[in-house]
Amino acid sequence: MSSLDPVIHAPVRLQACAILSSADEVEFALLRDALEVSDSVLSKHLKQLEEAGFVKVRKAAANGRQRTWLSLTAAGSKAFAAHVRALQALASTALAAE
Amino acid sequence: MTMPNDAADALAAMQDARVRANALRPLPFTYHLAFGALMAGWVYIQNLSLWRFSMGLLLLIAAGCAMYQWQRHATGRFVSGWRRGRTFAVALAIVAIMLGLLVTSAPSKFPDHQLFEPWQGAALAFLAGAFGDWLWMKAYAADLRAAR
Repeated sequence: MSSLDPVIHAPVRLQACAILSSADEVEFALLRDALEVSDSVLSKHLKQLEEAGFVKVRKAAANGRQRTWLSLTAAGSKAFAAHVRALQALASTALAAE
Repeated sequence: MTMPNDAADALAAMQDARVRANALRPLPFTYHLAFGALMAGWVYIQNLSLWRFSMGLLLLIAAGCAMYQWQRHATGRFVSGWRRGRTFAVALAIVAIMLGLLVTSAPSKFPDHQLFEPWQGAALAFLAGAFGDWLWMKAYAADLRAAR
């Protein structure tokens, strides 16, 4: 059975991984707006995911502005999938108990 | 420690986040029309002479690159057309229809299979491409709502 990953477990990081898993690459601003957090809070969480090797950060210039693009790495995708499986197993025990 | 009810809440929050992100910056409708035009161009150039075909192909590749950038800047994300789920079936259907139109409206390459004039094939490719791309986005949104 999969176990919960402590790096992904925090709500902001979990939701960030969920959004990143739904696309090949996501812009920092979109992630920030979807999660309704400040730049600094999101940066802090992304740094933890990046240090764990779960998220790849890419900077690209467009129309004279620097944009930050984020994507899940292969390790990140694997860890996120395992974390979701663990959550699903836990949630199903709640359903079975009802 | 995470309790079962917390786990269910976390899964629901994940799903909400995906749906919210997708709704924040939707793809403009003109993008679907542009995709249809790209498909129409692809079907139409099959009937041109080698020189014109090469020029048309270069134009279509440039248009494809421009659309790639358009999607990224408009929506704040890039989503490949080939994903698991409902979108995969839609992508396969678009490819099958385009190949069918290509074969049945290119008399210079497939004279035995002609059903349409080249311009008719291109017009059908435009409609099928634009509708297919719109449908793909609907399928993507449905996949996000259903994902757990």
